[in-house]
Amino acid sequence: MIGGAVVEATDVLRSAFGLDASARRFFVRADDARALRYPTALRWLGRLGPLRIGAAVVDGRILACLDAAPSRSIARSNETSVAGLVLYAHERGDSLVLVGANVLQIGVFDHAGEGAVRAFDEVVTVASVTRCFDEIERATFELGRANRAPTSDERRATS
Amino acid sequence: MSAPRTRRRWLELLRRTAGISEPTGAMDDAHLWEARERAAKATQEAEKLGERVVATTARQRTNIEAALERANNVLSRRDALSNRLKHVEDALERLGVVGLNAGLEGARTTEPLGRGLTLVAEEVRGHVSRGSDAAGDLGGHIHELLEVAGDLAQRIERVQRDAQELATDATQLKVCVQASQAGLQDLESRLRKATGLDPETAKYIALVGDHAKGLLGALSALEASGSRQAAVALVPLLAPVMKVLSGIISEEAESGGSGSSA
Repeated sequence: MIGGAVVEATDVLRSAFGLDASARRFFVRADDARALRYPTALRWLGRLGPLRIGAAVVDGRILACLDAAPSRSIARSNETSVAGLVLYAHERGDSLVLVGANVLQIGVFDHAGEGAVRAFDEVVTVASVTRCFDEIERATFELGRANRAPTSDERRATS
Repeated sequence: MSAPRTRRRWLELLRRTAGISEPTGAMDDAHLWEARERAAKATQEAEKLGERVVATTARQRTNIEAALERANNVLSRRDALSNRLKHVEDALERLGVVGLNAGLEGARTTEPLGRGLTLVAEEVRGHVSRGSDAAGDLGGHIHELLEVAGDLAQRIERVQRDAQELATDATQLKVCVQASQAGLQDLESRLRKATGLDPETAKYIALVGDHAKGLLGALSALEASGSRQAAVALVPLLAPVMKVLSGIISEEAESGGSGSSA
């Protein structure tokens, strides 16, 4: 038995957590998760990149951020705050915010093999926050490389 | 004015009225007076109606102003309503976060305490979800109502402008009626001078003229039918009339014929 929350899997979350494309849900451990409400969340939502990855400053710490519900957040653009689910990567000492993630059910669930639980009569993958951080770092690196100014060698090559 | 002169004047008028002598149109004069009377009555009626229109318009404007004030009052609460609704949504969202954390805490905690906490959290989240939906619907309805109120206020403003124009027109109408009354008074004095009649006399002349024509026509028809006895039977009735007419005619003859017109 394992306690935690079953979360609706959107394209962004599937991509970030490395889930199967057909996955409709994923599971986060209760020990890894906490719900929070962030004021001025839209400030950093506005800085989200192609993977809708951004950074938020909460309690003086920089957090990685994934927007799971952009349409809702953007549609209600006059909002000054937004609810999110914080996922802790204990071994890294980092945190990740899932903005607008839809938590379908909370409770204690049976194990269904390695890294999975049984919920809604389905096998649901347990999300790896560490794996997600790796993905975020990769995406951030790609984003930085795409946005950086060309080097002198590259400029010479293209001229 | 002496009695013989009065009678002469009457005779002259009657002669003119019945068309016995020259057809100078005393009947026309009388009808002119009748027409003037009708115009005066119509003008009086128009004056009354104009006053009613002015009064009704004033009441209408008062009601329109009150309705506009109410509509603007509703619109002025738009921000307050939006803020209140925002507070409700905010509170529900906070409650949702509390429910979520309670559920996560319950999932972390060992049975049976954790189980109870999770159930309560699920219940809270369910209520929050329904409350959020209701708040969303309420916000939509309030938005629609405010739009209707805004539209209503615009329409009332247009009606107010129309009412203002109507009030101006009603005032103008009153001025026109007053001008018409002044014209009729002028017409009356000119008619008095031109016809030598006053409205009351003209009314009697028209009446006598109509009766005289009717009597003459009926007697002619009676004579043509050969009902001599019936005509004789009317003599007692017509004798006083004949007497009055004879007196008038003899006075007319003594005064020398035609007599001066009034």
